[in-house]
Amino acid sequence: MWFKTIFRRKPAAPLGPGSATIPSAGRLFDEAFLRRLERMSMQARRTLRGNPSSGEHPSRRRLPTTVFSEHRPYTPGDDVRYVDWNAYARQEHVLLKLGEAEQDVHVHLLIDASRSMTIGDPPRLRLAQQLAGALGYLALAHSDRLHVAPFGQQAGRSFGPAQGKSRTVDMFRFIERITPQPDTRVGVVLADYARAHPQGGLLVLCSDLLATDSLEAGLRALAPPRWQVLVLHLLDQRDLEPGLQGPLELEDSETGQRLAVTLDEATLRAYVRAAREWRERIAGLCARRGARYAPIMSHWPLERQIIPYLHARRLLS
Amino acid sequence: MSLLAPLGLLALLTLPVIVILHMLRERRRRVIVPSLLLWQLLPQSHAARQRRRLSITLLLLLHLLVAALLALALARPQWDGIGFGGQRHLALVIDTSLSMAAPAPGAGGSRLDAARIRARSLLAASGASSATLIAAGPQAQVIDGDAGNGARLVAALARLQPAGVGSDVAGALTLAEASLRGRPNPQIIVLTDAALPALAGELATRAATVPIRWETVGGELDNRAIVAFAARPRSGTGPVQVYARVANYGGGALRTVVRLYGDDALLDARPVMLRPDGEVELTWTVPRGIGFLHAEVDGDDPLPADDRADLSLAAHRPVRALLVSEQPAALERALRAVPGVELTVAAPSEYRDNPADLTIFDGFLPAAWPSGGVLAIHPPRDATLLAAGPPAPISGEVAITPAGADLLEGISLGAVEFGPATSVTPPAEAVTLLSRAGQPLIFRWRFADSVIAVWAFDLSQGNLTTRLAFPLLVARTVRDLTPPAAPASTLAGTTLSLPVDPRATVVEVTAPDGTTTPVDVGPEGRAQVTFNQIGRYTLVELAGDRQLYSARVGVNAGAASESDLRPRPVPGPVAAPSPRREGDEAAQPLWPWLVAVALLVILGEWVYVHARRSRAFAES
Repeated sequence: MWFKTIFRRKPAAPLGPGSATIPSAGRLFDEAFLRRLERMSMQARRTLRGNPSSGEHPSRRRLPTTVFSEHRPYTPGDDVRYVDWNAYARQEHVLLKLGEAEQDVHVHLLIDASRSMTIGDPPRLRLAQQLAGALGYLALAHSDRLHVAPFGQQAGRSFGPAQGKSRTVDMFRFIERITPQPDTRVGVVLADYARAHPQGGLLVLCSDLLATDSLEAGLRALAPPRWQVLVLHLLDQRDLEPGLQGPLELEDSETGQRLAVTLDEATLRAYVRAAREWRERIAGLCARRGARYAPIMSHWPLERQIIPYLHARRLLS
Repeated sequence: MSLLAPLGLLALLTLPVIVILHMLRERRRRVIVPSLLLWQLLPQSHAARQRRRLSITLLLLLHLLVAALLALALARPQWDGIGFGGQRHLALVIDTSLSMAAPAPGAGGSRLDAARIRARSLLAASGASSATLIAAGPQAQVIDGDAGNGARLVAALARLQPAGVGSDVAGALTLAEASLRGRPNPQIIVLTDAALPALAGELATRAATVPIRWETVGGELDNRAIVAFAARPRSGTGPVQVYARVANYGGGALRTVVRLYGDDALLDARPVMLRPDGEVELTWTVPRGIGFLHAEVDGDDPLPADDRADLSLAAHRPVRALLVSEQPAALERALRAVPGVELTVAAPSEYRDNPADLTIFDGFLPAAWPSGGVLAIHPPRDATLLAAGPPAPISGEVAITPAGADLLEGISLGAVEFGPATSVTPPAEAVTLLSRAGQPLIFRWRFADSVIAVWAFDLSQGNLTTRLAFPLLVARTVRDLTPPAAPASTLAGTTLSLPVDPRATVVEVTAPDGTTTPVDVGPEGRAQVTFNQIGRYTLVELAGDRQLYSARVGVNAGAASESDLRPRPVPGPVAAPSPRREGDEAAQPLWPWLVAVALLVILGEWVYVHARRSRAFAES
């Protein structure tokens, strides 16, 4: 709600002075960026289950509120504070004033920490940490319940649930300490994660999606309306255009498996075509499973390109 | 540049091995990618897993370069300056045997003309800084040594003529190698018609120290020739047996006629049938008194020179002998038995310095040695020409010295009693032929225009005259002191060292073409005469203006070794590198430099690989 925002902007909780107590925050973001980021929020669907006691996301529930939208008859046990006494005076019926309740949501940030995320310049894991930090900060700033879970073959030790800006430093520290893991199994991890968190929520997957198992199985477990999934596909330019030539022995950074190829123009054209089809296949899969898909290049600057990009795609508001 | 060990180039076989190894195990640059997921999506045709196309990499080039350098180093190359102002030395050996006079089909002349044309073109093309021309005739000889390839050599080529029967190619090659010794980049080129029997033997297996290239001129020609012509008197005064052998060196049978002439008068014309590669032997009996024989076979073949043959029937040189002795009987009998000796006997008191070819003094010596051959037997003690002492009995074995082997070999002296030996002190230049207990019994020497032999024993005191050894000893002594007759015939191109009368100062040699050449007599009483024309030679021995002896010699061209004009297989080119000798300063060994460059390349390769690995490690 807009007045909550007013209160939240009181100098009582400035992040600037507190940045001195956040030794690691400066490595991911600068303070000014966090201030600018705070004005945004993540777009959560009404269908998500949340706690109406706090939070700012719209809910499907109609609760007795001071903000009127409609009436319902009084039933014993209802809070008499929400009785519309004026209506009672006119109609001699005891009616309760009902209004739209806002809620908090569970925000799950899943960070792919496999070794393939460390390849590239800049490394995608760094971008994933920055994105997770930014989105996590948004979640904490908007009183959402935040879960941060790095994963490889399986979900590792997670952070959260945490709520409130006071957990920001802990969150940053946790994100920064994420260490690369050998390989990744996105589908299995997402399915396991969905079983472990039956309440659902807004799940942001930061991954290069270079996994051998099926992403579809994971997205099937994260089906709407309980889950709102945002797939941030982190891509390196060299994934799309390798810029290699001649006889090569390619080594998989995760499995160590090697593949001998001789790259000529025809082979490179075939690779570019295969990479495009792969992205299109993932985008189609996400669309079929109700997930939002956003490809993000690793060399994009976070504030000047990625945040506006997410905003333009209505992933942030 | 030349290679001292060309077999080292076999190491170049490592080059294809290296290429094959690179194809089999082509090292690909390893690139770490986030995942092979996308790469495995490629179709098999694009994955190029099975491709074995050789890519030309720097490492491959370095490996090939190192292998090539080491292979060249194993061949031990040496730089002799050729190509940058260096010198090339050529020796041309030209066969000048008589077969080179045969026509060369397609050359418009003889085989020798074809060889001359080829030699001129070789000289022009070789660019040799010096060339040596060697004629391989019956005797190999250097015609022009160390000449440039200019007009002088061309003129020397033009002067070459077929020299006679036989071709001393082996001697010519030895001369050529000697002329090229110590010179950089030598080469011998042999121009021959390959009608050389030696090609099947010594020349084919001859070890060479200089590269040799054989070139054949002329072609295969059929020929027939008189290859043997000889005579033998049946008895001292009877008719003479004449023998001839006619050969057909060709693939076809032919019928021809052999004619025999005696002192230019036709004696016989005999038809003969010659089988392919066959021979016919003919004999005649000709009466005594004919001095010179000539035979010829109907020609019309490529080499007419060997269709004729000449032969002198003067088997003996007449010897006018003078025997001066008080008791000449035994000696006279023995001397009259020697063929060709016209003997005159005189007592010592009757002796005058009469000109004789051979003078025999028995128990007497004149005041001066007569010219010609002299045999002094039992020189008197009061002689002024020899210091003789009283006869003294000497016991012991008779010993034939090495110098006396020719004279006394085969003569049984075991039962001969020489009696008391006359103590004669031989002159310093005398050679002892027979001795007993260190005392010389027979010795000889040359003095001025005399050849003197001394028998230092008294014939009357021993039993020599009653033994078979006596006439043999006398006959041999006569032959030793007087020169033999001139040869009845010889082969063209032969050089003979003819013994001549000791009184002769010059020998006039008249060739068949009428040219007369005086030949000086050497200190050993011999004249070197070269018979390089075919036909009748006349030899006249002169002492001042006085003619001592005249003889005719038949010079023939027919010989089994020469008249077969069909070429034999020549040896292949001999690429024998000349070993580096002292004085061969131009040749510089290159193998240390090649090895050094190879090591540098290996070091560079190591640095390159190390740097690449470090870079790959840093990237990963």
